[in-house]
Amino acid sequence: MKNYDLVIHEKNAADASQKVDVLGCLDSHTVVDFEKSMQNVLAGMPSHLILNLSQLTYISSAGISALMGLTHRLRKDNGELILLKPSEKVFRVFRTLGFTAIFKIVESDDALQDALASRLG
Amino acid sequence: MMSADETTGGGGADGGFEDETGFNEEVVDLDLSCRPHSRILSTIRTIVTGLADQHGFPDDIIGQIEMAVDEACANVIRHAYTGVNLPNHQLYRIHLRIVLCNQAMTIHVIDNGIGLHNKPKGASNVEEYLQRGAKGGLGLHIMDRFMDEVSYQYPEDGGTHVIMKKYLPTAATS
Repeated sequence: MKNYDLVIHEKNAADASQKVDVLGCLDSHTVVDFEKSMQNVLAGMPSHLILNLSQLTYISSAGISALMGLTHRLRKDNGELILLKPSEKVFRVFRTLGFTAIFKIVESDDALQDALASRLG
Repeated sequence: MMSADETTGGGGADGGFEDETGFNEEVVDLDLSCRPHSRILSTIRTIVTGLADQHGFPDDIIGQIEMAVDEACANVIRHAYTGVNLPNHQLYRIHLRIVLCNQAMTIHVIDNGIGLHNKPKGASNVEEYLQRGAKGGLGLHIMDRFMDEVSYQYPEDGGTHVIMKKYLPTAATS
């Protein structure tokens, strides 16, 4: 696997949410590219940003800070950053450091649909 | 530059290689030196996690060691050489030393940079990190939180020397 990659999906026409798969590691090196890419994604004004973290193998404090920045920015516009299916290793870091209480994390596609429905309902 | 010294025998130069009974034990002592560029971080993590795994640390603890070392090295890359003018570009380095003895893994992260005069203040918890606007201190908090011991030395000729130690779970509970 490459050290880092993103798959940016088309914006969902129904709810204007946008999904991005984050692959590999999010550290001090890769976070620069990640933040630039997220700026471009947010320029499209998605209602909610869904980051699929199921293939994220590592996250550092730089990566967590980038997610915090996205959370703040989206919430300012009544949107939400949703972290979908984080890998066990990444979820353990979030839980140990207390970020599970801060980030919106969903564990399955069904839970994602419920979360989006409740946000939009 | 990379050198590795794997020996059987106690009494290493920095002490701590012998257990309490004085018996020799197997010691791995690895030195690495590299340019302080963020591109090297993934390689450093691969080496550290490989050694920790080989030494018998469980997966969750390996992840903690990986993160703490990554944060210490990232701090050197981001901060240590800012505004520093060294006489030789070869002096702009991260030195990493990893010592494995039968009870613990000790990681030294050394730079020749701006140096510190006091222990840097990280966030004590996530709430404090958030109060700072989520802009700093999380890396130092991670180092303190995930390692059993973290200490700082400030050589007179400059730079910073961070020493982090993690005990094997069986050693920590015995």
